[in-house]
Amino acid sequence: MGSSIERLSLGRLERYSRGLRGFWRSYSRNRPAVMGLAILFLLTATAVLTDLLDPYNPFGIYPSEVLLPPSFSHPFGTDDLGRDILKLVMFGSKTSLLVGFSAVFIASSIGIIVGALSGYYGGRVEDILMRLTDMLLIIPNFFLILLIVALFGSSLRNVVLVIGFMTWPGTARLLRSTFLSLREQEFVQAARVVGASHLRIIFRHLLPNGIYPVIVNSSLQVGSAILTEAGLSFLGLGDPSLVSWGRMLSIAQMYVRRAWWMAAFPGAAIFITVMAFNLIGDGLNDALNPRLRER
Amino acid sequence: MGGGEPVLEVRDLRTYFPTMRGTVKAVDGISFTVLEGETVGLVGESGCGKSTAALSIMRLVPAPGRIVGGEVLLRGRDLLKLSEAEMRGVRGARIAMSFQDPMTFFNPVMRIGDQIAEGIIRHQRLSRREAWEKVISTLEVVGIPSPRDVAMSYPHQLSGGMRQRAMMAMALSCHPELMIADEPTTALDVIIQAQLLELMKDLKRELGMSSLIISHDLGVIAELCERVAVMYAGKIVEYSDIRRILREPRHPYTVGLLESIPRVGFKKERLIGIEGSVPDLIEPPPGCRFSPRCKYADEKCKEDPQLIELEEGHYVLCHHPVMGGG
Amino acid sequence: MSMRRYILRRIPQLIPLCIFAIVINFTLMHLAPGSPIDYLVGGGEVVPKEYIEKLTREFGLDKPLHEQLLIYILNVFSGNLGTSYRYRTPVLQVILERVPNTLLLMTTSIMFAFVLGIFLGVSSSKRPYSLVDNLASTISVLGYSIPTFWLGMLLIIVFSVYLRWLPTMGMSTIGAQLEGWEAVIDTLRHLILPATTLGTTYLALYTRLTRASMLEELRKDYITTAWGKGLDDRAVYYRHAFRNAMLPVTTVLGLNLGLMLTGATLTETVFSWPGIGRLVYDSIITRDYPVLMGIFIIVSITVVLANFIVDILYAILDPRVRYK
Repeated sequence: MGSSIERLSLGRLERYSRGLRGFWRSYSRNRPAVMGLAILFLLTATAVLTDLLDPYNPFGIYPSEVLLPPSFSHPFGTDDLGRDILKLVMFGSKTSLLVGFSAVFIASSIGIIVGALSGYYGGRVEDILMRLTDMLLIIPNFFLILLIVALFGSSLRNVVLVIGFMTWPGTARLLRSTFLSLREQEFVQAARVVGASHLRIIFRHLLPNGIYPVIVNSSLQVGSAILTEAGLSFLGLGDPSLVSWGRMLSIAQMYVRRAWWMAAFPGAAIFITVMAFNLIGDGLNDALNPRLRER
Repeated sequence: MGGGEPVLEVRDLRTYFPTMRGTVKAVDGISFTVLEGETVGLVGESGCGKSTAALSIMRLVPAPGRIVGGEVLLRGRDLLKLSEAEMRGVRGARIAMSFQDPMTFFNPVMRIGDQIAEGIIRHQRLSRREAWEKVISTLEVVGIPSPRDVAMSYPHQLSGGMRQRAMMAMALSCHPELMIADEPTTALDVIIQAQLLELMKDLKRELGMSSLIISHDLGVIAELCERVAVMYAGKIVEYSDIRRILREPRHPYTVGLLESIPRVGFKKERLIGIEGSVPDLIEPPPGCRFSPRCKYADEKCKEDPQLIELEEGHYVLCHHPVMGGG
Repeated sequence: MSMRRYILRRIPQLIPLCIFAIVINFTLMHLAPGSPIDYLVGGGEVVPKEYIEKLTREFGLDKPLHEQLLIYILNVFSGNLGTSYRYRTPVLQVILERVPNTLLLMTTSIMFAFVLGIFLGVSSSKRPYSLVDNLASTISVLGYSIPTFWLGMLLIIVFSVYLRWLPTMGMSTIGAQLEGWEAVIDTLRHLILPATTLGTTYLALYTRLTRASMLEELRKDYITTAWGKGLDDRAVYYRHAFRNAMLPVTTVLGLNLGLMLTGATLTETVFSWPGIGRLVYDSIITRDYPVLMGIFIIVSITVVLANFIVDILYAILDPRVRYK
């Protein structure tokens, strides 16, 4: 079971790998998915350009501007230290995207390796790897991540590594089940007969055909990694040397009666970002899922 | 046999499936009649539209398919004009259908008895207990030796033959005026197939029910039916009584079908007698749809053939009907 | 009976999972900066020397590592999870005191979300791409993306701060000496906002799962048979499709219990609801590591047990598993 992605009918996916144009055509028909992509572009641009455009010190204190409601000069208002919330939110996008992408990069890499090895070789390798995978899948991973970060310190590096190393089992299961069905198909058998090496079969034949569900899953995982980071920061386990939306919300809790804007805007930023990744994931799923495409 | 009032008349029935590539004309203007007490066969390769035709009669065409034209008259009343609620009163009660693969066509988490009783409760307004009594007696009718055990079982606990019998019992349970059996023997092995054919012949004799048998296997049809309609690519290409079809087939496709008559138990659905395969129903070949596979085809076959009555009650859709047997 | 055999056969499979969680804890305790003592009582210097010696003996901290692990596992199974640094009481007791509050919050949310989610999921599967379906998909995408804690804060801002309809925090009005029904109503008033917050995120999960699973079932052959019998919508959707659709839904719900507990933690934190989740937050702030580790173990074991119960439920719902 696991995630919704496993509903894909895996065996037929390879036939739909014919070029990006067909893919884009069916993806672009899904308007929410296109919107998700647009939001992602906007966010990335913000994250990259913030430092360049506006040399603002997010750690400064501006005593004369404490807790100002949204106005023309501070569209999102200011916080308890007088800092401009719009600018903080822009800074925060960097943290969120960084955590989201790098944690998922780690998780997907491990998941792909574990899934490919166990799906391709089967036997004892599969037994051992899948037992580990299943155990990690059952252990409530937010609590484990939280515990490790609490014990080892909440630097950005730790947060990224821990999220990355704790969230790969889903990917591994997904890729394994794809590989199991692909392994028996003619083109793989043919490659084996011709004498292709194991690595070659895995990387040239199986992976290109089995990667789509993993891509969909990764997109959804970026969203949940961002939520996890926000949750950790909200519980006081964020990197104190960075601006993060979760931390902003954590502080906003104390001012909930006096300054709604402190809570409203950073939270909306998390919401929109996570939604963008979910919409992209759904769009990719629809575009890559042959059963839906035939409609 | 035959000669009675028509129970079912299908007139120019059309069922289309819109897809992204175009419209699939799965059933493209078929007409046939089932008379009182008569058994009619609908035969053709898989994909020729015979199952869709059956589902169209029941008005159970799966989305996105739609019945776009024609009439389905049950004792003169057009089923296609009934409301959905009225149609629900027809299904199972007046027309019942048994399906091809009873493993997937039974609900896996319900007892067989409950699945059969459901229809009885629905149509005859009996209590659950009374309905179960009827279930047991119907299971006896289809030759199940320990009906109570079977009724208490779940589908996966039964053998293929038992499941198919239970499926028959389900269709028979409300004494329908017409029974449609879709590939009643296909999923079974040879011996069980033969037993089931015997059962169906017995039932036919005892109950005198009208039925429509759908199969790819002309052998099965020949055992059970008085008349047969041969379907190819959404159209009926030949329609006559079974003896004439067996003795002097007129359509080249029927000839091919006969040549490749599978022995009972032969499961392959592709025909050895005929080269090529069923045409693409989105862009069917112009004119006669069989022409690309037909050894008699010529220029004239690029035009649409008309259904012609060669002799009384023997219809053929062909420009060059075969003469003097195949 | 075969059901009992099935259960008995599954029980041994639980133990490795529970031990796995304990081993993780043990490993972390030894890898993390500081000595294991810190993670059994916390803040070593304030604790009396005799107590540390007692713990060292209890947990065999002077013995080789593999013996320590064994002793630790036995200790955990007998309920000894160390002592809370903040409360100076056994960790297990601190945690168990909070369990009822979390249960109250979670069951309320689950009931609300389950009923509504299944209704939305089934209705939208009846007519894919219709208005109801679009509404259901929108709810589930929004519910999936919204950070639980932010939703909670928004509800507080609107309903407590501005409208002043409902209390912001805790489980009961502080200082009010309420009895009988008044106390119950007071608790319910405190429950509304957190339960709505948590319920909304669960709702997204249930709606999406039910819809997907129903669509899968409605495509199957036995549904055609059911229509063929002349059954009406209610019978086909609920008696046939729904019962089969619930099979994957229960499994996924079991697997998602961890996720649901995460939601509960964040919700409790926002509303200062005195349950396990709020205990997590308090323990992070006060560095009460023994409690944090204890919660991890208890939550892990709970999730493992919940999955076990789900498996049994599955066997009850699906005769194919039961009779093998």
